Amino acid sequence: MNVNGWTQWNGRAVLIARDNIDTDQIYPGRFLSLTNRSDMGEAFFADWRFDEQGCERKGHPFRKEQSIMVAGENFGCGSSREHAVWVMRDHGFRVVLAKSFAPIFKQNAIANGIAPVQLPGEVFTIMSAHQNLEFDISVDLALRSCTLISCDGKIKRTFEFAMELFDVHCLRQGVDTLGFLLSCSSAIENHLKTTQRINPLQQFYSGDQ
Amino acid sequence: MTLATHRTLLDKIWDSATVVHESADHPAVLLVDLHVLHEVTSSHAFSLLKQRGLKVKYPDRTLALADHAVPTLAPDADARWPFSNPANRISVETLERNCREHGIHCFALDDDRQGIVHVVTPELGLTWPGQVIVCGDSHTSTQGAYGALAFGIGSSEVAGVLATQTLLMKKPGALRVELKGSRLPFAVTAKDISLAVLAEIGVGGAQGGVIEFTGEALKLLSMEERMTLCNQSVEAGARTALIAPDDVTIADLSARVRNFDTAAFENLIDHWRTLRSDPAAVYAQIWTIDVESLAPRATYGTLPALSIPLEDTIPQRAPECCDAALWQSGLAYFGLNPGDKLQGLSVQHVFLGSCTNGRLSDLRQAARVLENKRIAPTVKMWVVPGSRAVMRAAEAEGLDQIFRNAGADWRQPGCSLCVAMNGDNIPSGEVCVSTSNRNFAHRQGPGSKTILVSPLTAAATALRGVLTDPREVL
Repeated sequence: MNVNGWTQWNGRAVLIARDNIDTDQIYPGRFLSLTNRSDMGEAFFADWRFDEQGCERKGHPFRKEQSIMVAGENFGCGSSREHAVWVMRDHGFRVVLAKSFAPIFKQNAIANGIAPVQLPGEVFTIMSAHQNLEFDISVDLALRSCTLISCDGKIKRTFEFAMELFDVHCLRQGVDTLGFLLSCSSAIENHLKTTQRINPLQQFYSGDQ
Repeated sequence: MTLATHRTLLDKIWDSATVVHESADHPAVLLVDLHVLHEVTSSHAFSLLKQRGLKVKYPDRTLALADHAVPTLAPDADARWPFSNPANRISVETLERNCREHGIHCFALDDDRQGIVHVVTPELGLTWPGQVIVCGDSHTSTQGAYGALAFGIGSSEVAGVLATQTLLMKKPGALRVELKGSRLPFAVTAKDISLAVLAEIGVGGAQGGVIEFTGEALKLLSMEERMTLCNQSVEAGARTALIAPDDVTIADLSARVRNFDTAAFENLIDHWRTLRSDPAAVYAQIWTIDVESLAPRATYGTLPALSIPLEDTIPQRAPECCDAALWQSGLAYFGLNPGDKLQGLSVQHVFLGSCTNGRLSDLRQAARVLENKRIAPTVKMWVVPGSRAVMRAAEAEGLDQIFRNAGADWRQPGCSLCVAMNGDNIPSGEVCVSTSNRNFAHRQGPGSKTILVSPLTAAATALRGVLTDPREVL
């Protein structure tokens, strides 16, 4: 996978001041027909960015320079579609700071070099209280810390976060889990042999297929 | 390895499938017994394998079905399927080609076993207690009804499973929903229980955990109803759901599993009977629902956890599970206000189908309401069977005629208006009362408004043209 690893990321933040952002918002179902990554860009929060005539809506929060998304609880809930992560990555996002993540979204993000950083609600609270201010955030995966700086320089706060070692490893090295799984192949073959797990699909190989 | 002497069903399945134990450095490596593919999330995975020069390691443990992108209109006179756009046709053809190349069974449009992944897999007797099953679709949890540990996964993970037959995962926490009660109130279905469970837990309340449904009320539920319940567990943030196998499960599987010699199958059944949580097993959290207190429900916002009994009014405040801003924007999306009644709300579309409620018993329930009646002229109703087998069985019973005579549209199997990517969609601003699983904003098309209900409520609503409590028409 051509996911470039990284240890530090600095970028402009966008606040989505809501809980439960579902993957249908990030990547609406009608765009699931698309198979080329290069065609998918339009889908990114399409129903937030465009009206039904395809005109850009006023007041949506997204700008070109943003690369960090900040949101509330349960970010990325709903469908398992990895398209949501692909299109975020293609729009420049490399970090999502949220109060919590839906589990499948979190796995998909790490597999594609987007860091799902779970924070105490403070970053969310500070940004929500100053919605007229732009914020930059720098994230350090080695230190597991992130610094929030308002563009007027008046607010600067550093927070620590927790992240599983394996997830940090994948993000910093720019690798997904496939390499690790392949390194387990002899253990997998042994497990299948010694536990004799019956294959339910053998019904189709041994009879009236 | 779980050392506790009192183990949950999750512990037992997890331990037996663990190839490499979890450590501080990495999650566990879990063996996958059965991997199910569909056209939308698999093409990226096959491309990843190709990029890395890898093959599908155990194609005989992999099954593919076409469901998301398929048309629900019948083929034309030349047997050509009316795909809504070339991309959807290509995605199904790509699935078929990938499966041919890698030696994977693929049941696509012209196969009489085609249908929605989570409907067909159990229907074919492939979902067994104690197995680990994965599919690139969040509603794989449906199959937990059989006591299988069934996870929805992303496309990159699909590639990992194709290449190694394993999944890398940190062990989820064990949660429990106890269903009390010895009878279901009139017109209360598994869907109403499911919506009540979501309202109780909240949309993220079970985040990352595995919900085990327990309790005497499970005895009241058929396998199909249990699947409805497990299907929507992901809408509470759960990784998946489980129900320990019992006589109902074993009777169902005995009727479906084929080509096994009797002694081997008896051994399997003996093993399945051991798959239950120990009485003193510990759960991180337990919720209790008394099914005898339930009534037919409907959702009123843009989260599946926001539902109320049809006889109630919309509450004055956001429930605990939902932030106030999202609750308010959900109400505004529907043009509803606190204190409003849902009953009587004008409805333009009714959708009966999906992996939540597209099985034979769902169609039978709706048909019971519609028999010898006509739906309201202001409503379009679509009936989309969950699979070709469901379609055939329904037609053999004459259900299709009941729906057609009532003025509903009897369509071909697929995901249809649940995921709304195959060309089936709801026009902006119009309300669809739907037996599917998600009512997110724009889910059934830009500006579409989705209200989740049971098949009985869907049919009652189609009759009246307004959201209707099924007890009024039964």
